[in-house]
Amino acid sequence: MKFLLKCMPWLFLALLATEIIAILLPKHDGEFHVREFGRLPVLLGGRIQPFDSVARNSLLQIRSTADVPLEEIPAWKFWHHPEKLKSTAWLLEVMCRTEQADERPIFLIHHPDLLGELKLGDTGVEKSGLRYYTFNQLKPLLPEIMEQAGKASSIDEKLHTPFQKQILKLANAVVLYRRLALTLHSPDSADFAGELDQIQKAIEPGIVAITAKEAGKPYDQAANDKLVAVLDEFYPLQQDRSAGQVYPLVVPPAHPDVARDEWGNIGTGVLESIRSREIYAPLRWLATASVAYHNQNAAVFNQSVAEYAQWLKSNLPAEWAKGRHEFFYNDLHAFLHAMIIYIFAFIIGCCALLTFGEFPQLSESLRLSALYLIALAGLVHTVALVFRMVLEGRPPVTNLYSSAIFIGWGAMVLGIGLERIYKIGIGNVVAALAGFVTLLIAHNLALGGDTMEMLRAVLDTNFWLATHVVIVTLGYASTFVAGLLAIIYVLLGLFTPILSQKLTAGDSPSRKDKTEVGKALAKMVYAIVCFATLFSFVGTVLGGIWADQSWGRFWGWDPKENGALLIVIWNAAILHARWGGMVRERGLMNMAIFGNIVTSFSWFGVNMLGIGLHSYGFMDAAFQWLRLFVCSQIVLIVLGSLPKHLWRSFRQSGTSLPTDAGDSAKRPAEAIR
Amino acid sequence: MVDRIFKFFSSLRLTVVLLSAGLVLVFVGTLAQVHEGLYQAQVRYFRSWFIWQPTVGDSVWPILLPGGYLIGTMLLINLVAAHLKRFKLTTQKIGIQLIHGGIILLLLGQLLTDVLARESSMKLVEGTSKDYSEDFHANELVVIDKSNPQSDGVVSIPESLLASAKDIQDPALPVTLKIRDCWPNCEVNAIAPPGSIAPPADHGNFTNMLVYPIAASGQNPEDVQAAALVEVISPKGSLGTFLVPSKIDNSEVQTFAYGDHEWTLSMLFAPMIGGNQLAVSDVSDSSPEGMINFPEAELARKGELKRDGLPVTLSVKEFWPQCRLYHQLAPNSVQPRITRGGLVGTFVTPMARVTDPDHRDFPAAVVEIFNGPNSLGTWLLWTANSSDDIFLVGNKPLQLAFRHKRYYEPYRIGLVKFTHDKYKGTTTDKNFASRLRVINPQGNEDREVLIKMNSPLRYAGTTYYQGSFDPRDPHVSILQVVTNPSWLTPYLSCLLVMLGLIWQFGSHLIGFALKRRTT
Repeated sequence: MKFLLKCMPWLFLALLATEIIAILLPKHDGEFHVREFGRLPVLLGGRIQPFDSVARNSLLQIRSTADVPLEEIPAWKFWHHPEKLKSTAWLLEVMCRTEQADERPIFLIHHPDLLGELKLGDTGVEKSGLRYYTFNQLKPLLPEIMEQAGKASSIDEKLHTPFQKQILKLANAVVLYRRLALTLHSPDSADFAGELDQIQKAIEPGIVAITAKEAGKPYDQAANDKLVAVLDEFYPLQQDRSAGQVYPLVVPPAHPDVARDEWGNIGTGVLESIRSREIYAPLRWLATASVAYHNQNAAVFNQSVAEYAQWLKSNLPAEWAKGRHEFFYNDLHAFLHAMIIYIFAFIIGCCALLTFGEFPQLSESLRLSALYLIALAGLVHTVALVFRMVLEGRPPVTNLYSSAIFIGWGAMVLGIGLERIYKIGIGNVVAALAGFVTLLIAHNLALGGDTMEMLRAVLDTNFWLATHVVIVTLGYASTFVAGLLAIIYVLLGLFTPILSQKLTAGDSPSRKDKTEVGKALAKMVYAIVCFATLFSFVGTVLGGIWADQSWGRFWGWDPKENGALLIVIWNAAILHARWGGMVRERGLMNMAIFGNIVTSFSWFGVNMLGIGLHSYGFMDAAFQWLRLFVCSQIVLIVLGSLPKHLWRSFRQSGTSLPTDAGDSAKRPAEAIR
Repeated sequence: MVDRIFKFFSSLRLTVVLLSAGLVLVFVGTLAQVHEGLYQAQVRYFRSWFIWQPTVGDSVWPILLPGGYLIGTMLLINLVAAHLKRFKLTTQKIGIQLIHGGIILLLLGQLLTDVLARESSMKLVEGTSKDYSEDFHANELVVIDKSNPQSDGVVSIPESLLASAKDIQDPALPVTLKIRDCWPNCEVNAIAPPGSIAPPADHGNFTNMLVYPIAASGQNPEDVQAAALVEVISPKGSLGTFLVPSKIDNSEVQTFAYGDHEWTLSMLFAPMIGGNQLAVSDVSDSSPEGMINFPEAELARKGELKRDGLPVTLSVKEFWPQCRLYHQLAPNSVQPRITRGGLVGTFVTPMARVTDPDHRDFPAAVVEIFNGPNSLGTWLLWTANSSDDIFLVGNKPLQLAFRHKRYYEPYRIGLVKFTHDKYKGTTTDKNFASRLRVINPQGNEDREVLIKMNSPLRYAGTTYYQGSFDPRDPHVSILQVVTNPSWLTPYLSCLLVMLGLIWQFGSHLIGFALKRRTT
C-alpha cells in the first residue's frame, strides 16, 4: 500500500508526459501533402503567417470552430473521434474545389429571429442545438442578407440589437468565404494554370503590338486585344482594397531586397509576370497546385508545393521559417493540452485537500501527484508561451488573449511557490485552477480570430510592453491568486474542519509546522497582497510614464488606467486595514475576495465600456460571464461574513481564532506606531 | 483638542476610509465617462472637491460624493501627519519611509501638474513653421495693434469673461468693447438671398439646404456650384430624393444601398469635357466599369436616366447648372444685427456643447466697439472662421479676432516631412513620424529632429509629441505640445516607491524564510 502511494505521483506524471510526447512526434501527410501546403507563408493582416493560420482564423470567424466535422457523433460517445476536415484541407477545398466546399455546412446561424427572417427553417445541420448551413443554402438569400447587413452597418455599433449583430456577423462570414474562394484563381476561370499558359503566349506579341500602336505604327490588332483583355481582367484585382485584409496576399515580393513586405494577390502576380515578360515562378506553382488539387492529382500537387517551398527557402528564408514554425505552434495546441492537465491536477489537488485530516498518507501522495502534474502543465504552458513570444518577436502580453495566458502563467508560478513553502496542497489548487480557468478564457477569446494581430503604432514598443504591461499583468495575476486563496479559506472554513487543523496533521516528514492551516492561509494571502501591491503600483506608474512618453500626459483618467489604479488602491486598503487592526483573518479574506471583483472589472470590465484609448472592442458574451463572476464573488463574501459558529472549522475550537488573529493583526500595527 | 485632531488626521483608519472612498470615486468616475464624455467626467469627478448627483450606471443618484481634489488632499495630509507622528529612521522603517515619500511626491507632482501644466496643439503643414501652439479648449478674443509691423501688441480677453463682463476696457486698449451676445458653441452660415428655393430632398446630407440659382453667364466663377435634385427609384420602390451638388468634400459624399451593393451619388465638376457629370459608382468595384456617368446635357433635359449595369432608375427632378447652396434657418437660429466685418449677412445656430474629447466647441460673440461714446460698428466673431477684421482708431490699425487661445514661444517649429505608414494590406497604423525643424534665432540654432510615437522632442521646457494627423491631408501633422515643469516627479516617485516596496517586502520575505529554516 505504502509503495503504491509512493509510486502514484510518478505514475500520473508518466501517463500525461507520454501524452505530451505523443503529440510532439512528427505527423505524416496523407496522399496529398496538405500539411506541407499549410506551412507555406502568406501575408494577411499585415503579418506573415502560414496558410494554416489563415484557414484556422477564417474558419473560427465563420463556424466558431477550427475544423469541420464530417460525421455526427452523439455527445455521449466521447471516446469516438469524429472524422474531421482539418482547417488547411478545408481552405484548399474552398480555394480549389469550391463546388465541394459550397456543400459543407459551415455557416453558423443561431439567432431565432434571423433564422425566421431568412426562412431557413429546419434546413441545415444541427449539432448540440446549433445550426450550420452550407453556402448553397444561403446563396438565394444573399441579396437579403446584404441588404439587412447594410442597414445594420449604418447604425452606431453600440446601438446594435442582437439580431443586427448576428446579421452583420453572417454577412462578414459570407464575404470572407467568397473572397477566400477567389484567392488562387480569377473570377472568370477555374483553370488558372491554363490561363497562365495563355497569358505567357500573349505577353511578347502583345507588348510588341502595344508599343507599335503607341508609336503610331501598324500593329497586330489581335495580339493587342489579347493582352489588353488580360490587363482588364487582372488590373482591377491588383487594385482590390480588401486584399490582405479579408483574404491573404499569396504572391511573394519579386524584389524582396527593395520592399520585403510587398506581397500581392494573383492580380499583382500576373502584372509582375507581364512586366518581366515571363510568368512569375511562385504564381505558376500556386496555380499548378490549385488546379492539381481541383483535379485530385496528388503527384502534381505535391511536386508544385515542394518546389515552391524550396524556392521560398532559398529566396525568402525568414518567411519560409515563420510559416513552418507557426504551423508547428498551431498544430501542437500546447495551451489546450496544458489546460487538460491543469483540470486533471485540480481534481487530484481537491481530493488531496479533502483527505488532509482523515487520510494523511493518501493526501500526501495525491498532493505530490497534483504538484507533479502542475509542474508538467506549467512546463508545457511556459514553453508554449516562450514559443509564441519568439514567433511574434514580442514580450508575452500584447492583447487580451495573451494577457489571459500570462495571468495564468503568473498564478501558476505563484501557486507552485506557495506549495514549496507550505506543503499542504493549497498552492496546488490555486495553480491548477488559475491555470485551467485562464487558459479556458484564452481559448474562448481566440474564437474571435487571429490572436497575433499587428499592434497599432502607439503600442509598437517592445520596451514598454516588456515593462509596464508585464508588470501590471503580474499585478492582476497576484491579486487573483490572493482572492483565490481567500475563496479556499472561506470554503474550507465553512464546510470542513481543516482550517483549525495543524500543518503537522499526520506524520508526514514534510509537515513539521505547528501553525494552523487557517493562519497559514492568512499569511499566504497577506504575502501575496504585498506582491500584488508592488506589481500593480509599479506597473501602473510605469504605464503613466509610458503615456508621458507618448503623448505628454502622465495620467489621463482613461478607463484602463483607472482600472489599474483601482487595483492599487484596493490592495493598499487591504494592507492598511490589516495594519490598523480594522480587519482580522476573515475580514482580510473578504477584502481579498472583493479584490477579485476589482481585478475582473479592470481586466475585462473597462473594455466593455467601449470608450477610451485602450479599449479592444465590445464583447457581449464575456459581459454576461463577468456579471456571473461578480455575483459569485458577492455570494462568497456573504458566506465569508457568516457568524463564526456556523463555520465548521471553528465550531470545535472556536476560541483559537479571535485571540490569535487579533495578535497577528496587532503586531504590525504596533510596529508602525 | 489639537492632540485629538492630530490623532484623527494621522490615523490608519482615515487612510483606509480615504482609500475606500477613492475606490468608489474612481469606479463611479470611470462609468460616468460613458454618459458624460471623457473630458467632462474628468473635470466633474476627479478635478473637483465634491460631486453632487453623480451618474451611476444609467441613473443619477441624489447623493454627495467627495471629489478627487478632496480625497487627494486628505490623503496627503494623512500621509504627512502619520509621518510626523511615527517617523523613525531605522532599517526596518526605511522601506515605509521610501514608499510614503514616493507617494507624497507623486501626489504633489500631480497637483503641480494640474496647476502648472499646459497642453496645446500645433497643426503644421509640410514646409511651414509656427511660433505658437493652440489650446485644446480655451478661446480668446484678441485686439492686435498692427501699427508696428515688427511686433504686434496683443490684448487678449479669455472666453470666460465674455459671458459675464458686458463692457471690456483695458489700459492698453484705445477702445471699449461691449459684448452684445455670445454662444459657447454654434454654427455660423450665410443667409440665403431672396429668390432661393427649398428643394424637397429627403435623403442624404443635403436635406436642409436652400438653392439660389444664378443666371448662366459665360464665366464660371470659382464659388458657383452645380446641383441636381435626383430621386433614386429601384424596382422595389423609391430609395429617396437626394440633392447632389458639385465641389463638396469627400466626407460629404452621399450613398444609397440596393441589393448587396452600395453606390455613391456625386456631381463631378468637369469643365474640360463639357460641363458637369452626375456620377454613380459602385463602392465595391473600383474598376472603370463600376462608375456610370451622365453628362450635363442629359441632366438638363430632366426626366428618367437608365443605364445597363445600374439596377436603379434616376429621376432628375431639377437641375441647376450654376447655383449657390445655403443652409436653412433652424428653429433656434438667431440673426444678430451686424454692421461690420467678414460675417455680415450671416445667422447663428446655437449648438449643444461637445462632450467627445476629439472635437471642440466653436463659440461666437457679437461685439460692438466704442471709441469714447462713438460706436465704430458691431462685429460677429466666430472661432471657426477667424477672418482678419481690421479697423482704424484714429490712424491706428487694429485687428479683431476670436480664436483658439495661443501660446507663443521665442522660437519656431517647422515641419519638413510627415510620414504615416500602415501595415501592408491593412488599415492598421504602423507608424507616425514628423521630421521637424527647430529654428531659434537666439542661439542661432537651425536643426532637424525626427519625432514619432513614443519618442517626443523635449526643447526649452516644452515637449512636442506626435499627436495626430489630418485624415484628409497627408502633408499635415498635428503635434501635441506640453509644458509641464513637474514632469519628472512620477519617474522619481516610481523609483522611490519601487525601492521601498522591494526593501519592505524583501526583508519580510527573507526574515520569513530564515525563520522557517530554523524551525
